[in-house]
Amino acid sequence: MIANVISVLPVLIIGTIVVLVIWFCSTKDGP
Amino acid sequence: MMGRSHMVTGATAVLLVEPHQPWPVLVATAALGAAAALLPDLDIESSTVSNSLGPVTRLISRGVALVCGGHRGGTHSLAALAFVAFLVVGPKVPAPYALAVVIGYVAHMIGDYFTGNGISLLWPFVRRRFGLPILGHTGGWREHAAVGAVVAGAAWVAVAA
Repeated sequence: MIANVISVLPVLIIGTIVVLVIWFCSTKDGP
Repeated sequence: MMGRSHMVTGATAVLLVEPHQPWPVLVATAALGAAAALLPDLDIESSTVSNSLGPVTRLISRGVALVCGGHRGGTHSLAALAFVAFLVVGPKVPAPYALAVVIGYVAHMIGDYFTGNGISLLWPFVRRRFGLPILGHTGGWREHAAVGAVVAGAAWVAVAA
């Protein structure tokens, strides 16, 4: 399990950053 | 779905499908997937992508809406998906980036499939809309919960796979 987490750590970190940036920096109105 | 919901699900889908890339490629493909996930909403003037370059994109948006039969019409169809894939998949665009655009576009269509109005999946052959409206209205709490679940689920799958 821990080995799995470590192996995908880069994508988890980058994914978290990307999601947070999109969620908090994008405009809230409009589809 | 709201623009940012599409962006998050698009980026998440890209990272889930092609996770084993160098980190600069991960960032670029995630951003590309997020941007591509906005493209189908070029058919409505109030959308994020239609306002991205001011009057230029708003004008393009009007043209797209006219050709594609309004919001959630042709741009949300398998035909449009095939057209986008045709444009990006080829020897000139590196595979991870082409795939990111296609995945982002698909993520948008899947997201809207589960919201109130459905999508014109088989446009221009069949005009009726298809959908499974379990997420309620655009921007509602169910949409936000679904986006959170998608992100958490993707992280779990990435670790467990």
